[in-house]
Amino acid sequence: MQYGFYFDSARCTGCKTCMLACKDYKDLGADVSFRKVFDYEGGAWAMENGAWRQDAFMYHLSISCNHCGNPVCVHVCPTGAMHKDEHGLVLVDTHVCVGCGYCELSCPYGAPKVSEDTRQSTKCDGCVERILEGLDPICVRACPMRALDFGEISGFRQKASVVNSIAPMPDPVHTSPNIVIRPCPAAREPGDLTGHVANEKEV
Amino acid sequence: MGTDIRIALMLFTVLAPAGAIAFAFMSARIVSLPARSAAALRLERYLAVPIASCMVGLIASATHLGTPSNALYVLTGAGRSPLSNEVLAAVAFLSLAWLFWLTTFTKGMSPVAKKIWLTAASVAAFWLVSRISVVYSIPTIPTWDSPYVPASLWSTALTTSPLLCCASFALAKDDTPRSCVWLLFAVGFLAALASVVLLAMQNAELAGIRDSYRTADVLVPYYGVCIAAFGVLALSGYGVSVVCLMKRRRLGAVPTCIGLALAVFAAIVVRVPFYAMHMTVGM
Repeated sequence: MQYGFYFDSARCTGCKTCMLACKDYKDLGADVSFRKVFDYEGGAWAMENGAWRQDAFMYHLSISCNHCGNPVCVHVCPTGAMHKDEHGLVLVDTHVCVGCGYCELSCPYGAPKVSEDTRQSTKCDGCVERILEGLDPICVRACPMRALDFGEISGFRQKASVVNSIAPMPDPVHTSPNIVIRPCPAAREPGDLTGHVANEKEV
Repeated sequence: MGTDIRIALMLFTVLAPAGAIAFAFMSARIVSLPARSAAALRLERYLAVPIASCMVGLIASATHLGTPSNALYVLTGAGRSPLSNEVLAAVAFLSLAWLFWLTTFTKGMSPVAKKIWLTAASVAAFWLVSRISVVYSIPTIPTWDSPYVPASLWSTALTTSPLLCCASFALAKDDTPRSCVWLLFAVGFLAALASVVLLAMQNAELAGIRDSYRTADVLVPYYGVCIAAFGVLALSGYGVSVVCLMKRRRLGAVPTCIGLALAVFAAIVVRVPFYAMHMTVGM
């Protein structure tokens, strides 16, 4: 079994309720967010035949740990603290985590963080205790637009017009992320150079 | 990555390789001396200098661990995690080197056993440097996953280690043949030049590497200045030592230690941009 997130980019308004619900539920400090909402935008105005034309675009990407199929954080972890459980979730065993930060350095999604409080790696665990009770993760439950979902990734992959990565995510070939995205019309492919992350300091 | 972590890792990646290779160089000199001679025994005791360099580096690196009480679990990842391999190599080298040093205070070991032990420790020293050189080769970190990274770590280690070895010889008041000292200086001098070339080539590559935000060269606009500073400092370190050797019959402890300090500082200077250029392929 492999669980994963589904994100509907066409529905997301970038309200960040998912992010704050997660911070509240997990009691995270100001320096750590397990879920982040990226604002990706680009385009410009140009004069053409005496008239102004524009190709401006923007969209949001709500993302947390993708519980990758080929998780680099698990491969580099020296203690085996970072591991995949029977649901395919990438979890931290705090009994053995040494807090070296190797996972944080290597993850291309910036998912694991070494907490200043616990001095150990901390990250999205998919709200595993809620899943075991048959509930959705708190970010999915909180989303007012129902842009997020969580479940067996194979089911999401059967939906029409879905992809597993959009800009500003990296090429999925690196870690095989378990996320399925329904791209909005403005969405760009990974590696896009026409846009930029507009809220870098926030994420 | 915080500044304190960067400083700890800079010290480790400079002092440990320098100590390991200097240990191997000193071992080569020791096995070339008549067994049980006073000179050999003195040098065996002064192996404490490169061992201490390596030990200080290892202790510095341990300070960046958030939960050091779990440090022994690091060995469970040997063969899988590059960091575990590095720690295992450090433990192997320091165990062999430190236990050998302890045996120099006894009289029981045969010359053949000493040679075998020193050879094994020297092999472990090179294994340690090889593991340190590839610990940052992570496919999702394009600025570090480059052949220039291990190559420049080796070349900077070969820049600092001859001076550390010579400083140990000088402190031990060893009557090292001048040809041996010149050979060590030549190795270090050529390694310093190779480092400058390798680091410059790495710098030239950074503009073509990018994540979701920017190209890598934007992260370290001062890299060229650091490389130039490395060249000046390292070559000055050798200059000081060479000039003093030309004026005196044998190595002087003070000028060689000054040369060593300059070379070590040079190596630390180029580790600053190395950690600053960290970026993943993603966000």
